[in-house]
Amino acid sequence: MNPKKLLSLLIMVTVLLAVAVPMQVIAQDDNTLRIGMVNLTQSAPYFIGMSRAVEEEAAVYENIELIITDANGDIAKLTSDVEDVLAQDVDGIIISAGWIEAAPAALDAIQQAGVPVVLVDRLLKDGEYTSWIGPDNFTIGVQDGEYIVERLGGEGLLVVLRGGPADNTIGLDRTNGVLSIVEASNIEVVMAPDFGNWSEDGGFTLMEDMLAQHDQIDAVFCENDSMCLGAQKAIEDAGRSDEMFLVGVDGQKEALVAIMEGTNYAATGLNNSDQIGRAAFHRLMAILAGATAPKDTAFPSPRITIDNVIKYYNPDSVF
Amino acid sequence: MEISSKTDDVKVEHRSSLRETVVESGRAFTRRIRWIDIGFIVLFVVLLIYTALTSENFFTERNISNILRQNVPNGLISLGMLFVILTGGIDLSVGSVVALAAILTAGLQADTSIPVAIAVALGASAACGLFNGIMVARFKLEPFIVTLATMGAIRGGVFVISDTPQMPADPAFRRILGGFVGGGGWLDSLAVAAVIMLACFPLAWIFLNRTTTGRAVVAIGGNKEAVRLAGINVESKIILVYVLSAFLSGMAGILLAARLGISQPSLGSAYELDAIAAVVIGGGVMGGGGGGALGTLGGVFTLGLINNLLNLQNVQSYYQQIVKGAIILFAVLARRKQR
Repeated sequence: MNPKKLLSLLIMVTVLLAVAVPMQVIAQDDNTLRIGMVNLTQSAPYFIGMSRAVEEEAAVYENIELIITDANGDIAKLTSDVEDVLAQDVDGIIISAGWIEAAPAALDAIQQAGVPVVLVDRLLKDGEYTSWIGPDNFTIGVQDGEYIVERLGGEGLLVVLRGGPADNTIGLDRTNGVLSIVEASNIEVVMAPDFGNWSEDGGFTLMEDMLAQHDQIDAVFCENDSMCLGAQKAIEDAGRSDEMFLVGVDGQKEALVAIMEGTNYAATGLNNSDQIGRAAFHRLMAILAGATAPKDTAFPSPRITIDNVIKYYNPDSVF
Repeated sequence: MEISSKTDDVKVEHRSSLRETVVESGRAFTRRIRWIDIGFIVLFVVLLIYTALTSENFFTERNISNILRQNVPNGLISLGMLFVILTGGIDLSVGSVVALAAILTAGLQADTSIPVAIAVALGASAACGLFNGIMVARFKLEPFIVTLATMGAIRGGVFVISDTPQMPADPAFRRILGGFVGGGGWLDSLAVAAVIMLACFPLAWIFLNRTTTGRAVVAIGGNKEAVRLAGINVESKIILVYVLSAFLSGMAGILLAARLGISQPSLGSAYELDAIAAVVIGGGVMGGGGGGALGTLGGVFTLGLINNLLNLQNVQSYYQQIVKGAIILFAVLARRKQR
């Protein structure tokens, strides 16, 4: 090996160590509680808010060490992350499973390790878990559906914008909740054929296409607020804001502002990841302290309209 | 008639000697050890020592077992990717094939037997590879474009055929292919899937180094025209590598479904990136002309080890991506200097 080559090798190793060394050796103190926060994804503010809430609550205690992972949306990596966290002898695990429905291998591994697991947001099927705290997406949909039927007097055309892809049940639950109410009325439902990918620009594009296809639209339901915010802009650009109103889900800050200002953004259902994250942390602490926790807790998801929006608006919230 | 058959004989003779030369050059390619390979071996060892010193949970049976098992999909996919890259191509559709195989296996288990479900999944995967291969070899299309197109199309098809968001896998299938070898001692923590994956690498080494077809595959990336002139059927070899790549990705999907206990249509998204990274770190040269099975195995475990190490060190995901990116860049940069 000549000196030049040796040098670039050294640089390589140095870069690696430079990143790794500052991460101190984990103190193996008997008093330390180790908690794993396993995230499927940190791709949306909603999920970041969830993880941050747990982080903030854990930071209050000096002897709690939090190990956070992010699987970038990959269920196989989520399973590996659970195994890696368990390999560090954690006392308990919180799983934010994003849009997946089941992760039997991950839950089995936790069960074998014998530590309590608290699920947040997503209720995973087919596996043993200690406790779940999250929104009831179907009920949120039902609330939105009731609002739409009431305001339209049971007549008109409703456009539904879905987040997709088809392997997420959160969106399905919400839409099915809306449909369960709307289908009993005379309201005609048109589903946008493509997915809006839960984003503002996705909602914008989908709505543009729907506006081009239909001369008269009376209401729009979106599986989350981001898509509705995009759709609202498309409707405004088309000069058809007075023709229809929008209903979303989540209680995202920008949506609350739109509702507060009395625009055609009419209602949303609260799904607060910050509160759910904090509640989950304390649920796990109580379990570790020996409390017998209820298995499933659906977090209250009130319907937010111009009448009560001020109660839920927090200008400082992340989401 | 007679005259022409005579010239044919001469041609054949000439070709067969050329063929040997090509095969020899293919062999030389896979055998040459470069300083950069030594560099990565050193990096690997430094990583191991560093992790052992800083994390008391690293050299535990459970953790080693985890690492082996976690790298099964990438191991198989990378091996297929290596074959394709050796011929100067690339296969971006591997992640979608993973999902296809996983969905077919889990979905069909309900209606047929487990072996039939697996056979159909492997057959469908291989068919995807056959399509890629024919497009690349016979229709002379850019591998990048062909596999980019099939990546999207196969993924769409997977969503169409899976009528539920997630399909649970048969418990028996999960126990056999997703479980451990068993039999007491350390065999209890040795995953069946890991044994299958590890067994594929020596087989691949033998294929690339000891068979005429394998050596031709290696030689194609070095100089396609010379291989063609030597009378070797380049088209069939190129089709073969895409079939192998898809087949191995299908195996990865099946083993993944067994391990996770479920399959979902979005499984395997972006897996092509880790596979390409593993091949490159292991000495593979994009565009062909270098790489081998053992190097790729090293690449797979270097990546896997980095993942595990960073997780054990509680390094945030974003930093993990930066570290991985840096290592891949260094690997490519160092090799470019070499040539």
